[in-house]
Amino acid sequence: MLPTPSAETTKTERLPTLTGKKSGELILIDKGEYGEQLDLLAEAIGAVARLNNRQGARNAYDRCVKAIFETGKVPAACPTDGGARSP
Amino acid sequence: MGFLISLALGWKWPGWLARLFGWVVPVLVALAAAGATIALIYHKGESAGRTKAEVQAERAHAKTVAVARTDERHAQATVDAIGKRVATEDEQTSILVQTKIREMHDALDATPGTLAGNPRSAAPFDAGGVRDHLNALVVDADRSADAADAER
Repeated sequence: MLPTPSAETTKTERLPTLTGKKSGELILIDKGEYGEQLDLLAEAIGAVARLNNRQGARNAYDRCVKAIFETGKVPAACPTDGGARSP
Repeated sequence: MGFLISLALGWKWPGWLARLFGWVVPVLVALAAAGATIALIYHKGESAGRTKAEVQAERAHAKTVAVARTDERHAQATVDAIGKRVATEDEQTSILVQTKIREMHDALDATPGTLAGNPRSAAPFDAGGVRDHLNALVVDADRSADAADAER
């Protein structure tokens, strides 16, 4: 029987959404620098999404491989490559 | 043996003892022959049995190995499919990030900057648009977290 991964290793990351809290004070900021900061922020959020995708892949890997070796059958919830299945 | 020794020494044994001895020897020989035959048959049967058991074990092992190989192929196909799926998901996220970055830069470019270094000439920037774009990315990240949790 294959081991089950511990809960800590299957955790995903979530981010809070921006609420647009205003202070009423205005400041000036250089467009170029603000744009660069927005780029980094957007990329960082995208990186969280991609890592969550991979965590999902890892979870699916664990679940599907375990089920296949224990039952000899591919569970319906697990993807298979159409033509790559053995006869 | 005692009989042979007494014969060699010329002792005289009682006639009944000599007759008994002459009768016991062939019986013992016959018993020994029967025992040897039984031992031989037993040994042969044991060897044959072992060979048969070995062949059976080998066949069972081959079958188990074949099942394991099939399982491994299924697992590999599934793992490959999972890899393809995550690659597609990652690409979609990257496309979304690039789209949102471009839209935010378009919004920045569309907002007039300061004229001749005069801070009062600056137009207020639509931070709400940027917030919506970033929130769209956060929603995408949280949605992928939900999908990942559902795979557990």
